[in-house]
Order: sequence, then C-alpha cells, then structure tokens
Amino acid sequence: MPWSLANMLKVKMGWVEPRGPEHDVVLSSRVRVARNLRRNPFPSVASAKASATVLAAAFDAAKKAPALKGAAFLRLDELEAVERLFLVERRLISQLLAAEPKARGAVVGEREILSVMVNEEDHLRAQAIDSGLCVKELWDGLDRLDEQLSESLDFAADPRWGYLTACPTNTGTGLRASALVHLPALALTGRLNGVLQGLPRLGLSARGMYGEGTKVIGDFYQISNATTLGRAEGTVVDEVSAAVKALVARERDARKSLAEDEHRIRLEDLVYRGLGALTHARCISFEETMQHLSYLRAGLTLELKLPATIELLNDLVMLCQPAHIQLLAGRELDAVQRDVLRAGLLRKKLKAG
Amino acid sequence: MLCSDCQTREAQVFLKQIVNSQVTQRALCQECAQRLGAAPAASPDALLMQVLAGLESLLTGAPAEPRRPVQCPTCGLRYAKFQETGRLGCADCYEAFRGPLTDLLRRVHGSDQHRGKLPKGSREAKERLQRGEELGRLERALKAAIEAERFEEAAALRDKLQKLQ
Repeated sequence: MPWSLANMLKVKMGWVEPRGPEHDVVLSSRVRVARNLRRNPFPSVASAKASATVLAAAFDAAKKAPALKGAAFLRLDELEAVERLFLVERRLISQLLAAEPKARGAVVGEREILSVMVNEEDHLRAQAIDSGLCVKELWDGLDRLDEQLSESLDFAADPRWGYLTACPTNTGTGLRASALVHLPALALTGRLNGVLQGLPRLGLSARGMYGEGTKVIGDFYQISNATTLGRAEGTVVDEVSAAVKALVARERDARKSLAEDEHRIRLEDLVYRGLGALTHARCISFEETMQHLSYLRAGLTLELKLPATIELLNDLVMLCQPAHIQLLAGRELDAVQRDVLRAGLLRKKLKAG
Repeated sequence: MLCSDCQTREAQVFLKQIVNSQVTQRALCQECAQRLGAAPAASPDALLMQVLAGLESLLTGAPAEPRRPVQCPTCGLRYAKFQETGRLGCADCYEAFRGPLTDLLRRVHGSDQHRGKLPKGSREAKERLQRGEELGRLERALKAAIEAERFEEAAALRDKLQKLQ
C-alpha cells in the first residue's frame, strides 16, 4: 500500500469529526466544480496519450496551488482495486474513476478537505468536503483553489454558457453543492416522502450516500442543487444552505414528536435491538450495519443511554465499508470474511465506546 | 393518419404552431416535416434541430436525421452520438451544436444564461467586463440625454442598449 494511503487509513478525515454546524442531522457538506481544458478532447473520447498529457498538466497545476500544499498525488493505475475502492468509500473519487484507472488520477489535500479528480467525466473535478452544514465556507475555499488552478490551466468557458463541461447538466458554474443528511425520524414518522417530493420545486434533488445513481442506505441522503446554469455560485450555495436548514428543522421536529408520543417506545426498541445486533453479531453485512448505526445515531439525539458517541458512530460508518475492512485486515477478503471481521470490529469498538 | 401535406405517406410528426395568435395543428410525414422545417421562411436551421430533437422520442423506427450530418469539426463527434451517450467530445462541440444545445440547456436548467464566475483573466471574462462597462456608459448617456430633453439621441441610445442587452 502506498505510504499516503496507509497514512489516510490512520488519520481521520476532516468530515468525520462531529464538530460542524447542525452535525446532529448534517454529517457533511460537499461542493465540487467541473472544469475542462480548452484545447484537449474530453476524457470519454480522448486517446490514452491525450489523457496522459492532461493528467500531467493537472498534477503540475495542483503542485503549484498553495491550497493543495502537502497534498498526495495518486495515479490510479498504480493502485490495487481495493485501494481505489477505499478512495471511493472516503468520497475522494467516483466509482467511474475506480473502475477505469488508466491515465486517471487524484490529488488529495490535507485532512482530505480539498481534492481533485483528474480525467473523470471532465478533465478536472475539484471538491471540498467537511463536517456539518458548511457549504458556504467550503465554496470560499474551493473558489480559491479554482483561481489558483486557472493560473496554470486554460479552462474552457463561454460568455453565455459559462464553464463548458462534458455533460450539459453541469454546464455553467459546473458547481454541485450538497449536504449528507441523516433523516431517521422523518422516515419513521412517514413524513419523509412528502419532504423529498417538495425538493424539486426548490431546484434541489435527493440522492443516495455515494451520489448519483446510488441507493439509499440507513436513511442517509445527499441533498444538492439540481441545475448549474442561470444562477451565480453564491446564490446556489445560499439556496442549498437555506433548504438544508429547513430540512434540519423538520427532522428535529420529527425527532421531538418521536421522543414525546407513543412512537418513542418503537424507536427505543429499534435502537436497542440494533445495539444488540451490533454488539453480538458474529457476521454482519455493511447494509445491516448502516441501518443499525442509523438508529443508534437517532437514539443519541434522543439522549438514550448508549455506549457510543456521535464521533464513534461516524467513524464506524466509514470503517465498516468493504474496502476499509480489507485494508484494516491488510489482505483481500471475500464477502463472508468481511462480514465476520466487521462484526468483530463492531463488538470491540462498541464495548470500548 | 395520412400526412396533411403530401397526402400519401403515413403522418409521424405532429406539429403544433402558433401563427397570428391561432393555434394550428398539422400531422406530417417525416419527409414533409423536414422539407417544411428546412424552408428558411418558416424557420432557421436551429429551430428545425430543436423541433426534431424534441419530437424524436415520439417517432418510431429511424430517428429524425438533420438535413446534413452535424459533426464537431474539432473532435469529430457527431450529434447523434452525443444524443446516445449524453457526453460532448470537446469544448468546441458547444459551438458546433450551438442551436440544439441552446434548446437542451434551457430545458435542463430553465435558463441559458450563465451568471456565475468566468476564468480569471480569460477572454470571456474580459468580454463580459467590457460589455458591463459599455452598458453602464450607455445607461448614463441615456439618462443625461433624457434630462437634457435630447429625445432623438435618447431613442438611439435606448435602441443600442436593447441590442446589447
């Protein structure tokens, strides 16, 4: 395993720490921009040679950017499949980048807050990710990185259409601002569908935990802006922030009513059954783990007595993912072996917690 | 149903038009639709692309081909290929497919005017800055002309402003 990855496994990423605003509901915020070079074919049609040229130019530009001081530079075809999956689980690269590693790369900044994917759907996808609801602050940081990169790279743009991207759904700002929210109480009280159905009217969409086309696990949702053309970055970021705040208020309301009325015993039952499973199972899948961890997280916000903190639960959400389990074990494992190891990890962590 | 124009082929394209505030509906075969759409008096190329792109999902069999093959001169990507994959091939594709993309972007985003940042120091950013300065200059001149009751000059300035906007 490359040194930089071994280091990452030991050091927690910024966004797992539960210190950001509204962290009882919002696990993390993320903003990303899509950028392309003016004179190079886009990755989906580029030859291996053309892609290698872009990768070298992007790495050079990133090395000169002060915002990426001390960053790790990863060439994906030099990594094992499980190591690439590890980066997906840490939300540093996409599944596309992991699946086809040739001439693709990633730059990962300190504490994994700022990072850049090279030769994904677009030449560059720069992102900022951190704990709690902080899309505005993240945009400020990403905006600076974007300026620094544009000093060495000639980004494709049009006065009418803004930044030109491979897919027209990103044309304009190329900006996607999102928050990963945990909505167990809205789900339990049956109000979730109504809330999610209202999002498109606000120009927002909801997705699963790992982004586009991924399924929803453990009541974790990604809320993001749906469009990128017609509104300035600052406006988009403000709108996402305001909408997520409203969502936080509704989830807290639902938690309050859960805590007060006859549903409370139902939730308590789910929480303690979950705790029972997590502390006694000998073999447990990632999805089952996430569902129980989701209830435990809700239980903590109802101030139930549990042998865990939000920080530990955030940490477990990360560590229990398949590639993390394998890297912790230091070898490749089949599904059953992973489930056994995951169960052991959970028993140990939740006892000590 | 037969095509209302040639009365021989099966109608495949249903065209709804507003002419002089009257809604008219026509059922056309593919050939007549292309022929009519291509007539310069009726609509420019861009509109034809727009109509055909929008109607494609309704058509059975072969998809509507534009009058001439549309291809990006820089990377060689064909518009049909873009419709299949949803991915453009290079920055110049935006210029090559400007007509249909304008319509597509409006449908996807509800807007076709970027209001965010542009690359610092780029030609586009400079153009926008110059345009902003020109707009400001014209607005001030217009205000002064109206105050001084130089109405002919004001009208000319107003037309210039509208054109720029």
